[in-house]
Amino acid sequence: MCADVCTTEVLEKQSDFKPTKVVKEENCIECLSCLEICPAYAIEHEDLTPTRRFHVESKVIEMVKKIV
Amino acid sequence: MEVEVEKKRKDYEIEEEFRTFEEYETALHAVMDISGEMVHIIESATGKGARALCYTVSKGYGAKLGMMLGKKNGVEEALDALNENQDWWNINLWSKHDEPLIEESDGVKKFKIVIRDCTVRQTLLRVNLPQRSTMCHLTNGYIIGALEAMLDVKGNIEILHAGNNACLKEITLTLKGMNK
Repeated sequence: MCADVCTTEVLEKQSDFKPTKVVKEENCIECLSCLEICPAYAIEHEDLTPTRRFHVESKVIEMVKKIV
Repeated sequence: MEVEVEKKRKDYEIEEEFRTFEEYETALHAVMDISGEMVHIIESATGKGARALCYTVSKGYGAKLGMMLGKKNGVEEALDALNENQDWWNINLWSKHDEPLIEESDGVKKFKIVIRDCTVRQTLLRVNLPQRSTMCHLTNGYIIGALEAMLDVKGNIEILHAGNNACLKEITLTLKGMNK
């Protein structure tokens, strides 16, 4: 699934139901589409640059931070 | 009369001073909600024409900024100026690891950009509208309008991928007076 949504060909599908492989890490644009679609929560990005989430109210962010 | 104006100015300054972050945030969210709703309604009323409408409107807005920034010598310089002079979009040149950033042939420049911070994406997420929809053409028009004004070219933009954290777009710039 994640390999299908990746337009920059960072991920490559493997045969025989083996896990998807990261083949061109340097091409990643950090769009996080793979992370969102992964049902197993198996994807993790290192040194990620998250965009500013100013669509969420700061009160909600504070609440979520406390819960997490 | 002058005293009255001066008093009003002082009142305004005091008001500005005491305006809190929450108040600004509420105002921003109101603008986001209204603009999202507006685009959604235009879309349902005019169909695909809404895309052209959004594109044209923001292209004019981008062109104004581009004219203000003045002529630039290259794509990199133009994008740098664009990033430095506005805070709503963060635009970076991007190419695959083994490919050049800008492909140029017969006066046509082709390159890809990654947009990280994007006010339109934030609005879409807030008002629960899909990406690649009408509102994305606001970003497209804005970028093309600014680049056309700064580089004196004809531009075209295509959305290659729309993600939650970044989008990938392809831009084609043609020198004015040349056929594609």
